[in-house]
Amino acid sequence: MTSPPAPRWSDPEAAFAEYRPGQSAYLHYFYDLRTSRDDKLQRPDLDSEAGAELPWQLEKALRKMIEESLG
Amino acid sequence: MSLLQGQQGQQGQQGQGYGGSGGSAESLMAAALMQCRDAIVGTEIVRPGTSQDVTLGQDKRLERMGRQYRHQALIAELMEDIGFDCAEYDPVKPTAKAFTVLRRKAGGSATSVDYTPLAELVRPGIGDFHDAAPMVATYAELRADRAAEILVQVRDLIPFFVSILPVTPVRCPAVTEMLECALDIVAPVVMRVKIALGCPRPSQFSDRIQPMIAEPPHPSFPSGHATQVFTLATMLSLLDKPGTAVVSDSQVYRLACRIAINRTVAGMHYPVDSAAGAILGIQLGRYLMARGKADGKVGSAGFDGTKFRTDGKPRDFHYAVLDKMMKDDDEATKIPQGESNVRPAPLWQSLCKRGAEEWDSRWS
Amino acid sequence: MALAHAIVTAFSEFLEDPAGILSQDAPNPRQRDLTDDPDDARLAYLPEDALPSPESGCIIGVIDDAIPFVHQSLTVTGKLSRVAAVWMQDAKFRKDVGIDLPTGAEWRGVELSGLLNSGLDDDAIYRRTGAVDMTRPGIPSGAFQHGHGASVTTLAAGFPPDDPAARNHPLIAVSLPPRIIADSTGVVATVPILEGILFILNRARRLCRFIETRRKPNAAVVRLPVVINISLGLTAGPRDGSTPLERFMDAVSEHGVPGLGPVHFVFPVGNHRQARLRARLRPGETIAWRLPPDDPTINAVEIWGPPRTPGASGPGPVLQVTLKPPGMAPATTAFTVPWQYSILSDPGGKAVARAYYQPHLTRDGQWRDGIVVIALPTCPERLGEPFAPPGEWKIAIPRNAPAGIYDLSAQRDEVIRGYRGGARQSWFYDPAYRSHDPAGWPILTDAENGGRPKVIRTDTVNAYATGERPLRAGAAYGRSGRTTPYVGLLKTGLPGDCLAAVDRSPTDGGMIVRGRDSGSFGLASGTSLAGPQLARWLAEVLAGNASPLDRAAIVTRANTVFGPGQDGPVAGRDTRFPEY
Repeated sequence: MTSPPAPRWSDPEAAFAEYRPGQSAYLHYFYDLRTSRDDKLQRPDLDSEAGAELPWQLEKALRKMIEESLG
Repeated sequence: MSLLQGQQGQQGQQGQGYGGSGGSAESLMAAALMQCRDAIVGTEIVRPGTSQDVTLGQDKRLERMGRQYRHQALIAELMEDIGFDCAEYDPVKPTAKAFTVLRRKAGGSATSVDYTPLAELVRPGIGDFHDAAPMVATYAELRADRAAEILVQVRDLIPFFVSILPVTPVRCPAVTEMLECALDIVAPVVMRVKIALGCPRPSQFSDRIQPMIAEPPHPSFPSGHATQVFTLATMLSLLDKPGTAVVSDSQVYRLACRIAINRTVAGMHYPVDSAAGAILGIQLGRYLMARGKADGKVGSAGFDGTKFRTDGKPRDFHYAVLDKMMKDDDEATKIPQGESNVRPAPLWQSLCKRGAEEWDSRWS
Repeated sequence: MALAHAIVTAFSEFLEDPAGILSQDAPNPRQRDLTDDPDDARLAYLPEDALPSPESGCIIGVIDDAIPFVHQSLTVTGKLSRVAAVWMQDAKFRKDVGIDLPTGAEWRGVELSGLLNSGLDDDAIYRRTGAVDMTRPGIPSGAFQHGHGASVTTLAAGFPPDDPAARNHPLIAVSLPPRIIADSTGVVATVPILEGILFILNRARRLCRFIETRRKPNAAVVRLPVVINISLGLTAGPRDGSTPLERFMDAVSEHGVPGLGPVHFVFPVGNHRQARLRARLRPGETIAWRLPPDDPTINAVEIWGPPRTPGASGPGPVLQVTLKPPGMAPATTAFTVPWQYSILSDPGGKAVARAYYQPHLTRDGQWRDGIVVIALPTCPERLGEPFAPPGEWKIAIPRNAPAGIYDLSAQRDEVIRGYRGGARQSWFYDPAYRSHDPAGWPILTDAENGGRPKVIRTDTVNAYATGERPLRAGAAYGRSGRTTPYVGLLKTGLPGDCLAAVDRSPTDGGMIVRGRDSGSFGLASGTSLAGPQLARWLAEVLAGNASPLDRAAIVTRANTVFGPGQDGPVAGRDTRFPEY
């Protein structure tokens, strides 16, 4: 009995390198979709670990935005 | 030879008739009956046999008339006792100031007739209609909500009452006939009132009313639908509990209110039309049920359309307002007074008797 | 002004528009600080007769689709607008007004009053202001007869023009780009919504200053409170109040905005309790995820791990997910650091799905692992693009994941009324989940379901609304006051903080709502209509009594006014047309 065919995950790559508001997996996917449809759009090449600090960057940026808006 | 041809000629005619427009089933039957008689009658001279006198009373003979002709006989009997009277403005105008539906008093003879008022409706002033028209526009908000009911209720009213009380047409044919007679009495009575009072429809005051169904060509006040449904509600509640007063929040009266209000939602009537229809309908319902009894009585009621206001503004109509009207808490309404006997209606009574039996045995 | 600065600098991302939601002619080519000339009548927020009284006013804010900003119910007698400012984010850019905004067009109350009194009808004004422009490509939601924004805005802020209370509730509103609303997943709405909130706060402050200048020279400072209704929702998210949007809203309500009274937010609790979009797994467990065929939009599931305290050496082991497409073997991701993504390809090398590792820090500094699984459309939007197989996928949490509960939610994905899209909802399949009891009644709670289902009804609350301060609005039947079965549940199992009457009864769904055009009506349903009713009530409470209220205090007040009800206080049961 043969086992079912195996799908394969690609090696992980960084989705974003720095924090920007509104970033999400969905946004990344949609931008990739647009890039694939439009030669004029480009997707930057990122080191695979480039997003490692993003969660902390998000924290800092959020605090800054709150201070700036409500100061 | 010629006979055969003649027959064939006839068959030829029948053939044409058979494939043609309406009546073909009847012509086929007529031809068959003719042909059968020719074959079996065997004589041109007919000698009549012995006869008998009529033994059955009108009520039994009425039953044997069949529904369609029974209906006509009943309408004629009931309409005999309805009369009308109008009061004019001073100076006289093309529309009457007030219109009264009268009914014959008991006693008297066929050539010496005495009427007494059953319901008097006083025409609202043009200013009253003008002030009430914006309410009709406000009710348009409910159109999406009530559209299905409004469309069905253009023609079908009895099924809504049948849904509430166990008076289905198959199990209660006499009750059903009573209600259908009522509808066919109310309609011409209301038309007489409408034409005399000649009241404008809400859409005449503003091109923003835009009724959602075709507006009938007759005048507005009172609402025919309201009159009809209040007659039905009254007849059914009196069938259940003879002599009972109007219970405004009972299911049949709430239904009557809702159907009446739906006509305002549709953009065709002011609330005052429904209120007037309620008074007229209740009185006609009482009148019909009174004539269906050996010793029925009914009073006289009134509705003054110029006084249907609250805090100076035109009044809305719904079952809470109906309640006030019935409890003598509305300036426009004169609740029934002065009960006296109605003239018995033998044909109608026989139908009502069967209806009461159907209702009393409804659990069987 | 700091708020203006925030609008300009923090959200240049909006202008870059990675998701392609903005029209070509919407962006502001030269964003500048706002320097409204107080004597320029054109820029004035409200006409004199529509100014609220500072002692009894409360501003109402609405962020939605296609706000009907010249609706009769948003005016006072004399066709004077009560709309202090409206921002259409995707309208053709309008210079002269709103030069500080990144995109679109802003209109203010005095100008709108002028248009209303110039003999134009509603539709002509919407065309004149760019709310409707059939020459531009895209969805003309401003033209819809029965749009979402029309029903929500008029419920929140509509008054008869001659109602003396009307002028006390000026409206500041934001029309989101139609493409945001068309995408029912709502996943790219965060920045536009944040921008919208900043706009409302900024203009609310300026309105207070405007009122001050219109009153006697040494009158007291005006600090009107604000209630902002946002009738939008997500079905997937961490639901721990830690997303930037939620934390920003909490900060606004908690600390307040200088020069303004207290600010409150109201959200619908959501309509997806019974949609099987919510599941819980432990390490080693698997759930089936059913993808419908012929769906040209993506389907997504978010997985959020149990919160844990980061150690000295970092947050700890990275969460992986095992995904099994129909007919194939399972495959497990191999993430190493945050914000990585991988693409899952079938044995033929064609992409079928993606996964993103996106952990976040919670508001109290704990770490939560998060993974977003995106399955490609099961029917590609364009020929040649990759697509995923429909049917039963399996999602599993690897056995060696840290112990605890893993929260899964499928993202909402359905067609929004009025919009095309062909979107079809995915859902979780679990044999232990029962939709109906043996007698045929719908099962309403996890307790009623019994057993140990992986698919749950609790914690199906709108994923935008799990912060500490916003009010979550649930829906109840108008006739009975009982909660409607579709209403989402908080983590506590309650159907929101407060309820409002929406559907009339189980056989008589929907409520009457206003359409875009003055005098029009329709029928609509959903907790989107509960939010504005509670926002309106809250605005009445705050008007003239603007002491800060937290969520518990608001609920207590609602209980007093409406009675505690079976699942919570129910507003809105007195209707314009009582049951006659």
